[in-house]
Amino acid sequence: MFTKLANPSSFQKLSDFIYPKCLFLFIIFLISGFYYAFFSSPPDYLQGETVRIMYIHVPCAWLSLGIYSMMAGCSFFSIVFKHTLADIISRACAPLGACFTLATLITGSIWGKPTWGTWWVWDARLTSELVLLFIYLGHIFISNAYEDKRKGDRYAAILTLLGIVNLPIIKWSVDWWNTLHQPASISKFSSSNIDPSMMLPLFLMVFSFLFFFISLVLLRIKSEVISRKLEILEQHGS
Amino acid sequence: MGLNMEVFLNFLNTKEHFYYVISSYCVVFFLLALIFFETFYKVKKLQKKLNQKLDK
Repeated sequence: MFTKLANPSSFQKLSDFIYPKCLFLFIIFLISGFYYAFFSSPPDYLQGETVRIMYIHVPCAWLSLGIYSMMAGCSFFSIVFKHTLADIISRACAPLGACFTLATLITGSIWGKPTWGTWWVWDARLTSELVLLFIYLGHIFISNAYEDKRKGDRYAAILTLLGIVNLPIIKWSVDWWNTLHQPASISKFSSSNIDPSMMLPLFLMVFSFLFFFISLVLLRIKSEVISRKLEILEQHGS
Repeated sequence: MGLNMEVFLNFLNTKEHFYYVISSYCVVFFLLALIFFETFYKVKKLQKKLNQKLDK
């Protein structure tokens, strides 16, 4: 199955089938997420109505980390097995990861002003998230810096693998250092600190953003495959 | 957890917090729309170019 999917044409057929379904699910989850976020979930007893920023800030933050993990996996495959599809997926993911990281930083900053009294602090969590944005931008610039795409992909994959050190720093920075940013409220190993009335819209938005990411990454993979086909045609033409 | 218009009306009336929440939602959906349309038109353009090459 993996060998079949590793073929760009087979992968393209599957992605053409999945793409509209993911877009549809994104809209459904988004509408229901909005409904519960604004009509059902109560304001927080401390933060008041600003807690509603959480429903977009947290999904963006989780995706910024998830996308990077996916890129790191692809970079490993690219370096070890020299597989083109891994490079294509990595290239497709990087702008989306940068977009979600930027959204995390901006929404976090807007949330910080009424909660902490400041737009920005050089706090461990905020700084490490900013570093993540720079790594994403570095990946985009390096992969496009060379005429030979394979060379660019290789250096970008090395950067991604080196940058993976930043992921545990982002995740556990709130536990390792004294930060303004609150510790994680949702954990796999302990019960959640969030009320179910807030948990429902949060997870609806998480799934909505996840389906948005899947549909868009499939579209970007398609564009990358087409551009490589065009390059081959141009090489044969000249 | 049902529909509660009061929750929404209270949110609309909290003037200061309202602008923080709305601006953060606007920024996120602007970014998402931007990357969606950029990707969508890029694919469309490349597909057209590929079809023209293949027709030649």
